[in-house]
Amino acid sequence: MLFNSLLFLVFFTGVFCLHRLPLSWTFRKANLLVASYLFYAAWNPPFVLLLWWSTVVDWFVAKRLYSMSDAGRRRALLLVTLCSNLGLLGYFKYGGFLLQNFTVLMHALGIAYQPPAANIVLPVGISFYTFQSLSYTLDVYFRRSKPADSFLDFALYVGFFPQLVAGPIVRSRDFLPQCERPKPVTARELGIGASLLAFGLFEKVVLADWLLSPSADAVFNQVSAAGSMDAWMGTLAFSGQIFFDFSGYSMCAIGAAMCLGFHLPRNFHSPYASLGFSDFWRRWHISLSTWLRDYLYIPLGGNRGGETSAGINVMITMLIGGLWHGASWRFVVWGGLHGSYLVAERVFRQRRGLEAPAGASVARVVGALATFVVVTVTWTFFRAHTFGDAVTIIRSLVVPRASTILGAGSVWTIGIVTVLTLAGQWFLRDKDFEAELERVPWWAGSILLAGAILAIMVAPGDDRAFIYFQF
Amino acid sequence: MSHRWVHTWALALLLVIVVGVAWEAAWRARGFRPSVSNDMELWAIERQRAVAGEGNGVVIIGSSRVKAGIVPKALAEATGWKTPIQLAINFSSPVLALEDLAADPRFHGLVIVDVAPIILFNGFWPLENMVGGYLAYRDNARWSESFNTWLTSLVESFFVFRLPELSGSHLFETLIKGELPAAQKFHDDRFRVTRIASSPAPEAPHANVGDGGAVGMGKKGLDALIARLNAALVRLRSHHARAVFVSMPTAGAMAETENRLFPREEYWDVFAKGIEAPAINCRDEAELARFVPPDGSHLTAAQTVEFNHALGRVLVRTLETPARAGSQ
Repeated sequence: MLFNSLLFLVFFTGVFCLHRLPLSWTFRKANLLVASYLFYAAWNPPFVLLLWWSTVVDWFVAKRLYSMSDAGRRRALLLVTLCSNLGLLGYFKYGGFLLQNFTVLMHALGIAYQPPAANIVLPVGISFYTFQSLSYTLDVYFRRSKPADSFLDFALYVGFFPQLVAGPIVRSRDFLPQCERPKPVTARELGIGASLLAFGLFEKVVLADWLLSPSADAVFNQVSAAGSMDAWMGTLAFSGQIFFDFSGYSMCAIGAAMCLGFHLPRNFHSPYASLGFSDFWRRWHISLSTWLRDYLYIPLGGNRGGETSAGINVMITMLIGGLWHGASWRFVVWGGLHGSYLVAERVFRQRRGLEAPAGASVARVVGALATFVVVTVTWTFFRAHTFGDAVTIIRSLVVPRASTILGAGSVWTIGIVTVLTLAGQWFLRDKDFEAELERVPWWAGSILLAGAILAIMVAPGDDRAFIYFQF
Repeated sequence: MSHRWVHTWALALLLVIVVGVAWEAAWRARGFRPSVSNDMELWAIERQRAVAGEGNGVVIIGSSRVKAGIVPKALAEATGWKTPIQLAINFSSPVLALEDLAADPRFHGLVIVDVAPIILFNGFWPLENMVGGYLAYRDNARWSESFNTWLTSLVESFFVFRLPELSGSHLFETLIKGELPAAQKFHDDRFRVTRIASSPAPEAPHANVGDGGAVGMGKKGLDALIARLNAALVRLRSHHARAVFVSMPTAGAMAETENRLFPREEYWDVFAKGIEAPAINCRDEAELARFVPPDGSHLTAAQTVEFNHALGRVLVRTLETPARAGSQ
């Protein structure tokens, strides 16, 4: 079920009304849980079983882990949850990829191996809810938190529909306390939540799908014909599209949850106004980058073993982070490039004492623009269909070629959206979006909301799925 | 603080309603009428209706000629049958759709099959054109998609603001040129019935196809087609379903193109003789031959009610007269 569909509007209205009834807190949480499973079953009903499996395994494992003291047995039990969650992810998401690479390896060794056709359907959101469920068990294992007291609360934590299929990846210590007792939803929360839902849909439907996606698709679907202007505009269009698509989803998720009285963590904070790459990863898909930091980078040793070790840990984390996005070497390369940027930035900063410039200096603006350009060019590996396509686009970015794909209208649209995006993110760089929303005069807020809703209404009618659903 | 958000949302919703109503009214004043657009999804829903209940409904398959020309309600009035289900698809051959119904033992009804020579007898036109995609969509459609389609088509059938001509890029591209979008000639309803405005500009929509690649399939191709359709008819009859083939009225450039590329004696006559089901050519029925499609192949909304009443009478006569019904 897509946020940008009438079905979701009807579904959410029903869930919201039931949630507002003066019934017991347990009943209202059960309503949210049933709604969450219904939401997930809208894609493929049998896959609800995978969600249950992940929930049940982590519920029992965490309970046992908490009561055990023997380190060996605790490690063995942790292995169970790792195998369960990563096994699900490995089979459904990487099964075909592994088989394909194994076949290539066999052929390289001169062995004619022909695997059976692997028609594995990827359950939507599996990367998100397995990581979320896993983080709970890991927190209990590391004694950072206690297991949940109520199975209903834990099941709702894993399956809560606003963030189930594309995050934010919520930590149990942030969510479970919210389940303990009912908290009335204030008019302020309702107002901000509904506004976030509307602005999130505006980002997705109007900016990502209507204004940017057609140009990005046109260029990346015919890369050999792309001239330099096409390549730059197509890459900029995708850079904007993926931000508005994913940020729009996250905003909708946070807004929908807020309308139901739950607070989810922020997932984006003006990433295209970042000063450097470590700053970028503190602002882009924050819930994933902090997950990778806490459960991968730090357990690997973090920066405790010196510069070389820290660099290796960064690279491992970013390569795995890249692979998390999709079962393709293109995503690994994308992650590897970001890893190398981060390592290079660390080296420069530490050896030459280079720090991000302070104040509103020209150097800061130049630094932010440089970061944006490198991040945008790197998206090419994320969006292109093949390595060859990515290389062709990058060559067109560098070597001047006549453009034939995008017309003046598309170029102007992408240019204007990009400039406004960068200016808006620069303005909000050190600010909180929700706080800024409340600083706007109420009537101006009404005009902005009405404009967003009307634009959504006249936007082209295809209900496109969110890009991150495939991950 | 809380009042602030109540005010904000109250004014925002008021603005949306006022601007939305004004927008809707302005386009309606320019002649726009609601029309649904999600054809593939609606087709899947209608296809499901064909086998719902006792599965003994009346189904229409073929191209835009029957999609625009056969109005289910009017045909039902004339025949006393159940209201037909519209499964015709623009530019498409009925072969795959007939085979699909023939392979479905839940279907026990009647299929009205469109015989548009430029499509059915065209050696160039791929038989799987469009319909294969529709069938694949139907086979993989999720319940949530069907429900969403139902909701979307409900909205689209009441409001013009969701028309493709008035949404997104299309509208802005037109406005940038300093023009206003022209009211659409075609209106599709939620049951996939196309209504064509009463005064379309005279044109021959298929003329380019006739000139650009249409070619008669020849005797061998026609024999293979008849054999393929007869095989489907055998399977259809095995679950007590039946079919009738109808060639709709044509005129002008389209009629000339079809007469040139698919001479009646080489195609229609051979087809009608070889097919193991009743075949009606509107040119042969006096009460149907008088209808002249202004654009060459599509009857307008002003013509269809009367045409369907006449077609209904012919169909009843044909199907209820044993000699004419043939092997049915």
